[in-house]
Amino acid sequence: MVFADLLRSAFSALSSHRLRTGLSILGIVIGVAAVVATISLVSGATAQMKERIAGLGIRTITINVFPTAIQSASAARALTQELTDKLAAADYVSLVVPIALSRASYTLGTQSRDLSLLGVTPQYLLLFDNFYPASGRFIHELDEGEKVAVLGANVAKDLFPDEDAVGELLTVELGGQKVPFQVVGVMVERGTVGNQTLDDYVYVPLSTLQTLTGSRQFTTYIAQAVDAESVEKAASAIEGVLAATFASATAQAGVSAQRGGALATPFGAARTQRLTPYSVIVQKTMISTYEESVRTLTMILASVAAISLLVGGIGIMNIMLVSVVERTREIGIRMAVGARPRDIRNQFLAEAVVVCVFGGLLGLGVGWLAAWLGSLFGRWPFVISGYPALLAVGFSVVVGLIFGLYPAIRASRLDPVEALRYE
Amino acid sequence: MNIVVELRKVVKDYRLGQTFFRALRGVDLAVKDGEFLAITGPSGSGKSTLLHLMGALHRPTEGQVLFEGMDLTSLSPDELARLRNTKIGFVFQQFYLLPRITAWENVALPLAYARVRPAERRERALAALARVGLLEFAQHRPNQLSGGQQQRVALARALVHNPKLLLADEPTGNLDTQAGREVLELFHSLHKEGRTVVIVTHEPEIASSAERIVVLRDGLIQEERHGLR
Repeated sequence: MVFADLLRSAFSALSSHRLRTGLSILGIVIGVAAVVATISLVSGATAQMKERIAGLGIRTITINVFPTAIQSASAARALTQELTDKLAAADYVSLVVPIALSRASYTLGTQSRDLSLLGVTPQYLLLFDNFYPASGRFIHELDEGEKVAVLGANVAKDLFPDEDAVGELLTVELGGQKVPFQVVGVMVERGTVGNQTLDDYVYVPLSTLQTLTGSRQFTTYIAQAVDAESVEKAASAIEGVLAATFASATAQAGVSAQRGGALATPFGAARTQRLTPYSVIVQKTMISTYEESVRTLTMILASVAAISLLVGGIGIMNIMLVSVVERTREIGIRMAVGARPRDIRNQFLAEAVVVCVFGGLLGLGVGWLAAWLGSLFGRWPFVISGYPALLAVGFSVVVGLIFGLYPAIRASRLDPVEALRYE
Repeated sequence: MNIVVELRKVVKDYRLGQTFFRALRGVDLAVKDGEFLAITGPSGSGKSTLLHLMGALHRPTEGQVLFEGMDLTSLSPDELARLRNTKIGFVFQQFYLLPRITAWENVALPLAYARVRPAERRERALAALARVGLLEFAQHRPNQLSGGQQQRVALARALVHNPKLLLADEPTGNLDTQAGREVLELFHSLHKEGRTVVIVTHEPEIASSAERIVVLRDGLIQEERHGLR
């Protein structure tokens, strides 16, 4: 029997029991659809989450530099500028923005509110997509040393609920003294990016903040790697720069600048121990943690889906066993006219595989449809790729072969005479 | 004369649950090339078993079956299948046609297992159907044919691969007298063309139309005699 004969006889046998064949196919359809939908849904959800995390700044490297000695405000400013330039020149680094965070309070009526003053340079905006002033403007180069402020969306809503804050005067208490800031802008709502709650800050010029607080505050540098793949390399380059810069200070403190165990933070892991006068934090661990959990989730869902495929396969085996018994006479006739055992085996295998391939293709369609609907409800991108298609058809052929094999072998081992006599 | 198939001291046991049933108890028989042989005897005497052994459907429990001098006991299931596919044609009492396919497709079945090209299969199947006078029924399914016609389709299937040996197990047993006579006539005309024919029957009329008659009883050859031809 050549391949075409096998297919023809399989189609003829299957079409003579339409309902039975249909139900067997349905079992495979459900199994394959479950697998395909799971893979498609999870990869869609993953793509969405990855996009979001990328928006959170996967390329971002946070560098904290702790003061090694009491410095004057001007010395602190000089160090900041020098280090910014050095870090920006490091390999794989595209941008370095220095920031400083300071606590301040504000009295609203009788209540005292805590405020986070973030000292920034104009380049700060380059770190984020879709972050711009809703009204007024952001900190400008010319603002250096000036007491101007730009409010995050939440701060503006909180302090100036009924009016446009731009042009208002915001007097905060900072280090025991009252400092009036001219509000020049209010930012759009942007939410949390990485570990920064952008809407909750009051943005002021970095130089202004350093002047007001002296050297008591450590400075943070936010660096951006040229691309997501280079984050680790950029972080290493930055560490090199920092190690060289702080070598004398570290030696004085008797502390080695060895890279040690990761200091876990909710958004990443410090690459260096706090024993050094600096720390370098990458966001990448967040992504790998996320991908890890997605992989686990995929495994669990895929196992459940695979179980339903297994059930479909058992259904196939059941039906094939019934079919072998029913067609014992036919098997005897075929053997009498010269069918070899393997011809009989192949004939029944072909039937099982045809059922499974049909089920697999239909299941692929149903699975994609389900994934598409799921993506509409979940509002994540509908990801379609050749991989689940290949997997589905491959899976169903394998299921057909595995579960069809036993009945087929049973059929092929029948004794021709007994098979002919079977009533 | 050459011998097509020869049985030497053949014993055949069947398993019936825990016990064995001995269908043949030591049969010696040779079928000569071009012979028309009838095997007869009461039911349960081992006629069909003898035919199945000649047709390579069975292997003997003891003794030897030699097909053109080749010992069947030494052949694998695949080799036995090939022998049935090329040298032997079977006709059964219940016709044993596949119900889902047409007459010509039934006739072509042995050719499919012989890996003959599809176009040639059809050609040869139609020629075989023409030989049994049923060319115009080529597209009919078995349930659209009378019993006599079905048996003639089965005969065409047994002929299509031009076998050395034609074996028939009660070929007229399910047919009315007229149809039975027609089928028997076909066997005789095939014999005249030089084919070796072995027919199992319990009908004395059919048995006596053969050249040689072997009578079986309780798994042994009881009697051998010449027929009318």
